[in-house]
Amino acid sequence: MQKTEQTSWAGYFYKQNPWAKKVAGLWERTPLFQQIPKSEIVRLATMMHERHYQPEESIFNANDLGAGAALIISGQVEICTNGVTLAILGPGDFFGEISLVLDERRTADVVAVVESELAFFLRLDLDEWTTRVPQHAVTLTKNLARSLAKRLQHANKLVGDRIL
Amino acid sequence: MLQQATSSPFGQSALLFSAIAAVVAVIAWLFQPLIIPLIISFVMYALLESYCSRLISHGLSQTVAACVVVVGLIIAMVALILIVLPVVFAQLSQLQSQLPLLWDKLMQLGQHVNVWLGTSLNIDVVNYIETNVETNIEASDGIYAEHSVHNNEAGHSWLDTNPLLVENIQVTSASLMAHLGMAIFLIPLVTFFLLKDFRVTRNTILGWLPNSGFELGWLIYYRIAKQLQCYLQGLMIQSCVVASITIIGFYLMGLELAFLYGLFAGLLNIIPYLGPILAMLVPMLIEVSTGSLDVWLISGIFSIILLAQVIDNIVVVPSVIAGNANLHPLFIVLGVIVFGFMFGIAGMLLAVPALVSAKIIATGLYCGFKRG
Repeated sequence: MQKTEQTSWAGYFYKQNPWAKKVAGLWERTPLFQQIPKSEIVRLATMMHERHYQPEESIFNANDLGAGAALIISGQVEICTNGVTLAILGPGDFFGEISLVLDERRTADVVAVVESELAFFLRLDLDEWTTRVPQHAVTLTKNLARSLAKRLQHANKLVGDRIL
Repeated sequence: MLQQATSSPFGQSALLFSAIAAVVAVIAWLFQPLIIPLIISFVMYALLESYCSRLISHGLSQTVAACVVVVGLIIAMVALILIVLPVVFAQLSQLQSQLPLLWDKLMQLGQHVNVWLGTSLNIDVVNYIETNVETNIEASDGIYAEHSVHNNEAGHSWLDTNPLLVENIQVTSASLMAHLGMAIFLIPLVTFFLLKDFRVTRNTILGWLPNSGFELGWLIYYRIAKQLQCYLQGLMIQSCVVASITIIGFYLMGLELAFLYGLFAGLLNIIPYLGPILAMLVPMLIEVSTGSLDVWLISGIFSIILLAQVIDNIVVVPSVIAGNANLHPLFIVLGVIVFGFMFGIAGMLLAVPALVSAKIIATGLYCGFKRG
């Protein structure tokens, strides 16, 4: 019998969380959660934090202290720096992942374009998850390192092109 | 002027910090009678949470995992009571039988000090105390004080002849047993609910933060939790190391109450700076009072406590809790004294975690409001 179909007394042992399942489904498609079992992503998603933003509401500003990454569940957000738009992100996209590894300030402003729902994945959640399932946490950390390395490579290329 | 002060990052953070401190002070005041069982429950939660998480990762629900862990805790507590408590009680009853002798010796020591003060500084402490006692007789019903004066004059031991003191000891023992019974009942119960619901409750409470302060709130919580977890783990290791060294050392010295003294030294090690001094003074006082003034005995006790502290500070502290507290030693000592004065032993134990948390909250709020 599958866990999703469990009812009655068995449901007491395996509780379901529809919001976490929805969030896990979106995270699963990101490069951050490649090669991590769905059940583990669902478990991690239950620890994440749901936030709602109104149109034009600031999600965070450059130089704010960052606590973690955010996944867009619904809506649209704009990432900009010094008034220049860097990207418009939609459902399934994530941002702010530098704060998962560094206790540093944010490097860009993020504003909700329309009414948006986000799931925050904080450094604290990552730490707690690491003590719980270190083998999967290693995979996630590798994926995160790969993602950040690609971004660094891209930035280096941009700087190189400008110099040339 | 006030508006200008509260609009600055320092003013804003000071205002918010004061509000948080006030809320915490009210909660601490409300829960003061339960503070020790609650501290122990939180310590248990911090130690057992990882086991609970492992069970959850094997597919159990939070409730069932918490149940399994708490049942394990109860079994461990019962085993500990069966193994350790008989030894502790045996040594405590031995100590109790030596108390009258200890009291008489202390009285003799007091008289020696009084004679010395009288001859060298012309101060008569006994006369001063008796004058005050007589004032107390007039002010109160006088029974307790009359007994005190009478026994002092007659040179009897208080424990042998003072019925009020014996009665007080009985009342204190009964109260202690009631507190112990409540703690034994409360600790597993509170630990169970912390294991079951703490994370959800914490997420709900922090979820009430507005969007603008959500990340800052979590960041401050994360820093405090991390520091306290490291501090707690370090403290447990420190106490075990100090207790082990002192038990072995005192046992090799041939002290009959070696286990009790060692246990006491390990527990007192939790109180920074003042704890080791108390851990040294108590066995010295008991051994000297019940035996003879042996210089080798005093230097032996001193050396063992010193050795335990040296090993603790050279080996354990740098590898386990280095930089955790990150507070000035004077600040810690003053904090321990003030907290001890306000909340007793529990306050002394809570002083460092409370000061560390206060520092993180204050700096976190200031950095958050400052923005780069």
